[in-house]
Amino acid sequence: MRENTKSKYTKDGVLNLLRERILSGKTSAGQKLNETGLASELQISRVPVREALQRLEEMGLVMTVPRKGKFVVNLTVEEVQKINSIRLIFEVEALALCRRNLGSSARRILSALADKMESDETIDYNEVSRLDLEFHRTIWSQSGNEYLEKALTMITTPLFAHRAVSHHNSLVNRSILRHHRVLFEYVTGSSRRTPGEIMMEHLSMGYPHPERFSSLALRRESRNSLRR
Amino acid sequence: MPNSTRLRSRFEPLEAETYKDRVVNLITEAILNGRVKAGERLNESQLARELNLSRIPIREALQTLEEMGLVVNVPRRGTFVISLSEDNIQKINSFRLVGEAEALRLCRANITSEKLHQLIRLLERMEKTSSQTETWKLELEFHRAIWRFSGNEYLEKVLTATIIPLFAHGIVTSFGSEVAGLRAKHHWSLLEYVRGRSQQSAEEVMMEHLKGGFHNPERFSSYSPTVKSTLSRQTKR
Repeated sequence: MRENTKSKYTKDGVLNLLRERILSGKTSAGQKLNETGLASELQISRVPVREALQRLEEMGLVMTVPRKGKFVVNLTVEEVQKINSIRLIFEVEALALCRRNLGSSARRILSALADKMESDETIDYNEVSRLDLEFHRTIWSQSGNEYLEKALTMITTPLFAHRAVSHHNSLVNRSILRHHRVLFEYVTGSSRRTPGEIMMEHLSMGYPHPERFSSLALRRESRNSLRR
Repeated sequence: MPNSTRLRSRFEPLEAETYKDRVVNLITEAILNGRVKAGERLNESQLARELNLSRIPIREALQTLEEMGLVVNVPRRGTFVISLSEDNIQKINSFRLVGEAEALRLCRANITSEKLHQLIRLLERMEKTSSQTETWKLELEFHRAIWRFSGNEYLEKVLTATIIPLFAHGIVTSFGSEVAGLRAKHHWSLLEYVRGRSQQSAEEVMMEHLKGGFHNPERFSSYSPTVKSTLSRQTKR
C-alpha cells in the first residue's frame, strides 16, 4: 500500500470529517458528494475518500443515485411515510416477540436507556438519535428472529440518518423521548394495551401519518366510512 | 476500452460481461443439476483454473450469484452455495407471514384487471410446467408481483432481500424431487384473496399457504403459541 506522507487525514479521519460535516449541516441534505472534488480538496488520493463514502452509505447518511452519483441522504415526506408504514408493521411484530423473549440483560439495557431519555440533562440531537436507535435495536434483537431484526435495520437506517441530517438544529422533543417508557412497559409485560396501538402512538409523535402507506390506512378509511 | 474505438473495430466487441454471465450460467446449472451441492464451498482460484479464466470474471460472477441469493459470502471463510437450516427456514417464513400478509392487503386495495391477469397468467404457467426448478422460479415471480403491487417500494425491497434466499434454497435443494404441478394449487387461494373473494384474513391465507410447503412456518412469529419454550435464545440467559 502506498502511503501519502503529506496527507493530513487517515482513513478514519476522512470518515469522521465527512460525517461531522453532514451531521452538523455544513454539507446539507441532498447535496452531491463528489469523490474527485473531495480528494483534491483534502489533498488525498481517491481511495480513502471512496472508502469513507462507502462507509457513510452503510450508515445511511449517503445514498447512491444510479448514473448520478452519491448524495447526502434526503427523503421526501412521502418516502418517510412509506418507510414508517412498513416499520410500523414489523416493529409491532418485534414488540410482541420481545415481550415473550426479553432476557434479563436486555431488560437492564432498555431500562437504563429509558431512564436516560427521561432525564433532564441537556443532550444534543445526535446523542438523542443514538439513544433512540439503540433502544429500538435492543427490542429487535430480542425478537428471536434475526431476519426480522435485519429487515428492520435495513428499513430504518436511512430514516434515522435522514432525521439526524435534517434535524440537527431542532429542539430535542422530550415527549417522544419519554414515550419510550411506554414501549418499555409493554415489553416488560406491565401494559394491557396492544402493541399496534402503542407503536402507532409512538411513531405519530414524530411523524405526520406514519401509517399512510400501510394497510392500517385502508382500515381506518373503512372505519371512518362506517362512522359516517 | 472507450466506446469510439469499439465502433470502428472490425471485430464484435467481447464485452467483459460475457465471461461473467457465462460463468453465472455455468455455476447456476451445476447447482441446479446437483453437481455442486447445497452448502458446498466455491473456491475462486479453483474455479478460475477449472474454467481456464482469470479470477476477475469469477469474482464478478460470484457477486452476481450472491445478489441472486444462490450463494452466500461468509467473511474470511469464502463463498458457499446457499443452505438454510430448518431454524432459518422457519425464521424467514415467520417473517413472511407478517410481511407478505401486509403486501397481500395492499395488493388487494390496489388491484386492477391488468394486474390480476398478470397473476393469473403466472399461475397457469405454473400449472403446466413439470420442472421443479421452473416451478420455483414462477412461484417467486408470482410472489414478487404481489409485493410490487403493494405500491410501497420499500416493502417490496425488504421482502425481496429477506425472502429470496429461501427461494434460492428451494431451487438448490429441490432437484429431482416431488411433483411440480402440485405447488400451483397453493397459490390460487392467494389470488382469491387479492381479488376480494376470500372471507379469511390475510394472515390466515398466508399461514395456510406456507403450511402447504413448510413445517411450522409460524414458529418464530407472534402467531406461534410456543415461541417461549422453543427459542434457543432462552437457554443462553
